[in-house]
Amino acid sequence: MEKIDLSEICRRYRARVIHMTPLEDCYLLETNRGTKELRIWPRVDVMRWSFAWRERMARQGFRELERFIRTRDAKPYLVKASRGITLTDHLRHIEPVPTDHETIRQCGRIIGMMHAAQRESSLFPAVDFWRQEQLQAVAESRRARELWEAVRARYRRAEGERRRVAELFPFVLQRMQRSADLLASSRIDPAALSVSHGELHRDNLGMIDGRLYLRGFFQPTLSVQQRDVAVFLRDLYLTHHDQAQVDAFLDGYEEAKPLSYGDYTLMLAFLAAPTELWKQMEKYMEDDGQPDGGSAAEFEQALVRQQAVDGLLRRVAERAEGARSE
Amino acid sequence: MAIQDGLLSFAIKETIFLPAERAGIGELKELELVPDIEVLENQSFISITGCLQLYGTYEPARGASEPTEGGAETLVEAVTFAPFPQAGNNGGLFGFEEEVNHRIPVNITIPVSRVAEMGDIYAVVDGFDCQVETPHQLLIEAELKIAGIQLTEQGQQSALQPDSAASPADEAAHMAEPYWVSDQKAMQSEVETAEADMSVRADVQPQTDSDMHSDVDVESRAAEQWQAEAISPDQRDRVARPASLEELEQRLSELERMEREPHAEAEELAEYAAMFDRPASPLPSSQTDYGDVTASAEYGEVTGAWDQPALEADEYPEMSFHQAPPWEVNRASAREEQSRWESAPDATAPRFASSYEAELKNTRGVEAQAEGKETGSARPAAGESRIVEANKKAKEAGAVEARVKAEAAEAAEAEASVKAEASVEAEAAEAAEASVKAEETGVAEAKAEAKEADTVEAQEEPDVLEVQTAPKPEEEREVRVAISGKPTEGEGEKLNLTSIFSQASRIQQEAQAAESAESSSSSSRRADAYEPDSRTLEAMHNLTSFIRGKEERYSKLKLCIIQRNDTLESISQRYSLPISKILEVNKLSADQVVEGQILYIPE
Repeated sequence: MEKIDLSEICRRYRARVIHMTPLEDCYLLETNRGTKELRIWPRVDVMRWSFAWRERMARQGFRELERFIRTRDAKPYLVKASRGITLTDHLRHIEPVPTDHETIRQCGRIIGMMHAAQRESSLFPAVDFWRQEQLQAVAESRRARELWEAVRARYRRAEGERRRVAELFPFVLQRMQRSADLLASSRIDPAALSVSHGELHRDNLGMIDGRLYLRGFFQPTLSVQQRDVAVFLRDLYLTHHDQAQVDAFLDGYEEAKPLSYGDYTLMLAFLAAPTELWKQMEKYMEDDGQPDGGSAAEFEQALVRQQAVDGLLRRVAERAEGARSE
Repeated sequence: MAIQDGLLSFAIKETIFLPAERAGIGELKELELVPDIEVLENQSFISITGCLQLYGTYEPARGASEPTEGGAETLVEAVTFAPFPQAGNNGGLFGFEEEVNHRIPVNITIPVSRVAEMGDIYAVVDGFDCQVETPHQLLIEAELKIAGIQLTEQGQQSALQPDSAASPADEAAHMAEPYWVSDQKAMQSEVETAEADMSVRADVQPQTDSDMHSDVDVESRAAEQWQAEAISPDQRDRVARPASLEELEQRLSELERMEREPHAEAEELAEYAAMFDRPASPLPSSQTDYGDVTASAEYGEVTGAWDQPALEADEYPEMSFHQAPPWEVNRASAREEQSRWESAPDATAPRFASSYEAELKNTRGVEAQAEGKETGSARPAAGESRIVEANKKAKEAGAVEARVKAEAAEAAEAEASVKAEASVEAEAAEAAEASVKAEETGVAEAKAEAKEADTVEAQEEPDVLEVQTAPKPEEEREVRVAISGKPTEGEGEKLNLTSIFSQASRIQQEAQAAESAESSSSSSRRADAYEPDSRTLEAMHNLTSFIRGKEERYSKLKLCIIQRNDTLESISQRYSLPISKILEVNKLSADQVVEGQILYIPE
């Protein structure tokens, strides 16, 4: 892969670089105009898409997000050696988002705005990502079933922890299967699908000087937007166990972007997948025969979380049904 | 019941209903039918009793509330999952896998004379197959084979029938062949016997009757027959009115020849295969009752038949006692019968009279029983006991009869009924001891008839006393079978007492029997123990149980349903069997298996 001369890149910007510190996912530049972050995008198309939705949001009046700093010749990004290069401000003093319902509602609204902005871009066909998710779910479900078939005889007479794992396996399989089923649901309208990052965490939202900031989204992974919401809601609910927050978030989201029954279906499909529990089980199976106390504890923790998610699923489903009947 | 490869074979077809609260069967994983049978020895008969245990595991079917892709009514339903089991929960292993357990009670009684060696008796479940009719309904079919029973009688002809043409082979034929198919033959042989002895004449009828019952076993005909509850007149005619003795003899010999031909057996197999072909619902239903009766009635009479006989049968004097319920026979018909017999133009009339006396004698005994059990429930039992006697007689003719207790079917508890019956019989046995002996002499057959038709009447008749005085040694040959699909009270409990008595010896057993079961054994001994009373039966259980450990042998057969990703290798690993063995047992040539295929797994 062709090397990129960062000093040359830096010269393209107006800011004068004093010091450069490589970080995990970017370079931290100390400049005469403040601290900046230099990012290398492995996929130029994703960078362009990212630039597009950021600008759209800014045009809609939402400026609390990381916008790409333009070069001397007013370009928002550089393309070098098939990779994209952007420069953004380095945000400091970021505080976590308060958990009051109003703030959560605002978060929902901001995410809704982002999705709406992303929807305007037709750079990526969302249907492809949806199909990809379907295939993955089916494959994962099959793999789990195969693993189960392979070990069930061995675990049949198992005792203690192994028995416990074996006991839970069918429940995990059931959820995986249901997730795959919902993903392929005919209620989902392919034309209504849009692409987003696939991963939306609480870290992507932060408070700076009392204002809600949207940050991050520099990873090249993409998926359908409902996955964003599902991941966020799961994260939110498992942290605070407050269904009202979930409702507040969705309320805010729907202010910016209405949710259809198909959207809810897809959201629930992602939520239903017992990904964390399954990972733990898989790990346990792999480590079978090697007593590892930590493994069982993690396993139980994942189980507790999955049980909580079951409650979240019902809440979201009820909301979907309520919206449908109105 | 049929005879295959020298084994007594009972086709079993049972429908198992899962309780509504249980998860329905989505996919059968494993199914196993294990005979849990003990062999009890008595002075006069061997009782094979116990049950067939059905064990299985299955994956529950998805309920309506668990729709599949696109099938969900609402998202709420779609995302409602069964909660995870709590840690430390010792409930069912594998939430997905449910277990099914079911018992099919079995009770077979075989005359001692049919058993050479106790140790030779064992039960095998063969040809096990299953079908999921609905998620809550499982149909199983199997064949229960009892080995170690002499299917032919050797030199057991009654003293009164020295020239009987019924050879051992013929007797076997009687046992094995559906009389309904070969009733002519049966008739002939019986008539021939009648020639030899006057009393045989009376004999012929019960046997014929039982034959017909065994015919009834054939499922397709069973319902009809039972509902008609009587042997059709023309059949009776055929049986009871031979054209001439010479002709009969001729036919008999022909039939004997035919019997020995292999095709006869094949025929009977086909017939018997379907014998149990009825759903043995755990819910009591008339159909089930009959089914049960039918199932076990192969050789013998089904007492259920007696419960619903038509009085039309009375028209035919010789047969009437079979048609009428013993305790309901009206006197008029019985007398009419008697008068007909007495006035029969037949050359055998005098013999008739004597046989009739014998019958009366028997009847008296029966009567005594009936009197003792005037109460409603006891009466049927008494009737049954009589029937049993009748069966015995019929067996004497050479056929092993399987007697099904209608009560067992009705009460849904074969064992319980057996005991009730046994007690009744024991009482009867005491009262009718003399009559029993008379039966033994060969007149016994007549007694069966007499019991039924004349029971009520006989009470009033002095003749009875005369008859009683003719005791003769005879061996009873009887196979009684009760197979019930209904759950017994003791379901889930093992009847097996083997462990308790495993250290005891046979001698000890006998000694113990003498001590602990004194009262019951005395009566049963006196009466040659046609039917032990409940205490006797219990004592016998205790006494014989310890020899079971040594003498019982089981053959297990597992059923494995191939899953999507199963291979012969995985199957062989799972059951620790070489692939070659699996191929051999299942008569497979290729080493490929397909999903849904059923493999028998030998153990």
